[in-house]
Amino acid sequence: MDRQDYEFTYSDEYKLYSFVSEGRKGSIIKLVQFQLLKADRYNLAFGDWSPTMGGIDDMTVTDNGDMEMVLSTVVQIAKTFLSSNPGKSIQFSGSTAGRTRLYQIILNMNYEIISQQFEILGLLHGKWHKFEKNVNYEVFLISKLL
Amino acid sequence: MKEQADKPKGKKYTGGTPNLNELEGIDLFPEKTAKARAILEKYPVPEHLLKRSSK
Repeated sequence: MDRQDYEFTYSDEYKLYSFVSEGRKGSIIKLVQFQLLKADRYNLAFGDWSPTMGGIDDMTVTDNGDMEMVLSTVVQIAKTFLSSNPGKSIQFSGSTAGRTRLYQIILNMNYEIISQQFEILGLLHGKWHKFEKNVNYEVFLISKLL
Repeated sequence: MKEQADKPKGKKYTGGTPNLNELEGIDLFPEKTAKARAILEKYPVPEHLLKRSSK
């Protein structure tokens, strides 16, 4: 199998997405939600769907051995959201400092390609900056270039 | 992991569990949303940084 990301489905209004992580712990349903913060800004959050709870736990360390594919899928979902909601921005950070750092690494690795289509800002010490590689931001904001 | 500058992917939800259309209106991550709102209020983005035009 040579896929880079999972197939995903989306809700009628393109605000909630799901896909199935397939790994050493089995099949785990992931949900990605874009929650409105204000007129043009949404928060991105994702976590594991728990059928028994009927809810989500975004602090779970799934450890399903497919982190790269999961994050690649979330990137694809973010692209779909921004394409389906022109003029909107996505704000996101990790549940932990380690996860935020992981997102930073992914943006660093893919910056040249991502920056062709998207504008990335980072929050550092209370101020927003244009994203620069190898700077450890606390929060990110991404918009599709018009 | 490689990014592709192509069309958006994905398929529209057509059934199964969880029901995306039922859950869509519910904030599934209320703590994260609250934290994000607090950041937004405390640290507004300067207008000059929101260029949003392609090069």
